[in-house]
Amino acid sequence: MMLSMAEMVVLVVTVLVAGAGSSILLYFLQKRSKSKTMMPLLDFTKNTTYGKMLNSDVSVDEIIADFKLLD
Amino acid sequence: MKKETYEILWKDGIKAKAEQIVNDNAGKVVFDSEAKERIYKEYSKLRDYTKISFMRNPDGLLDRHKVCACLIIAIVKSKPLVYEDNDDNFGMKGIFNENLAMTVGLSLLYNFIISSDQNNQKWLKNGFSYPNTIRDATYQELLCLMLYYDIKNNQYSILALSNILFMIEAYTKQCNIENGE
Repeated sequence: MMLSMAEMVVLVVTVLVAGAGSSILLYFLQKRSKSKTMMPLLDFTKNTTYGKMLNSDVSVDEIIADFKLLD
Repeated sequence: MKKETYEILWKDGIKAKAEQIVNDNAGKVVFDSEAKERIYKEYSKLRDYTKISFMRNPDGLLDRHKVCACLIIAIVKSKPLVYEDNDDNFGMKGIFNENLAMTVGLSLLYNFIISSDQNNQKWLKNGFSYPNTIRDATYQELLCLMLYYDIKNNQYSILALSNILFMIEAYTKQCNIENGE
């Protein structure tokens, strides 16, 4: 059975639209799953070492003069 | 912390707030002025432990949040407020020592923040801000409960409390700067 020219055009357009639709869908699905797996957890732990913390340069003795008790 | 510094903290902070709590709760709680030395010794012990355990230079200074955390824990552990009724079976008691400790600790933090930059008064002029809670206890009350149970069970963490103090400071700044202060 031969398809008419109009039917052929409809078929080709349908296939193209379906293909483009699935590609877009796949793209967003992939992007979503990517953003899920790339949680900031990696950045959070990137520079984590078990070193000690930095000291401060302000002494409590220097700031106590105007001590005010909060309500 | 020099003894002279502690004298100011004791007189204008710990003693002043403790007397206010005693006046507001007459017959329930009394103030033990002998706690003065206990608090200082406990604070010194906690401060030295923190420096040795967590700081790169154990001879250097602690940051403001750790200083305040050590002071808060020292006050709660030293129990300057003593319940007049020793019967422990009548249910919940006031968390007076924890309230005292948080007030003094946050007052000291306030002082540290203002001293570092006078412009900080803009966002700190109304004191600290706390997040709303869903149930009937305020965030401050929940903090006091946390202190009560953690210290009772000897499970407190200076770093965790220090982190909470940092978050309160950051939250206050964020809330007030967003409101255009």
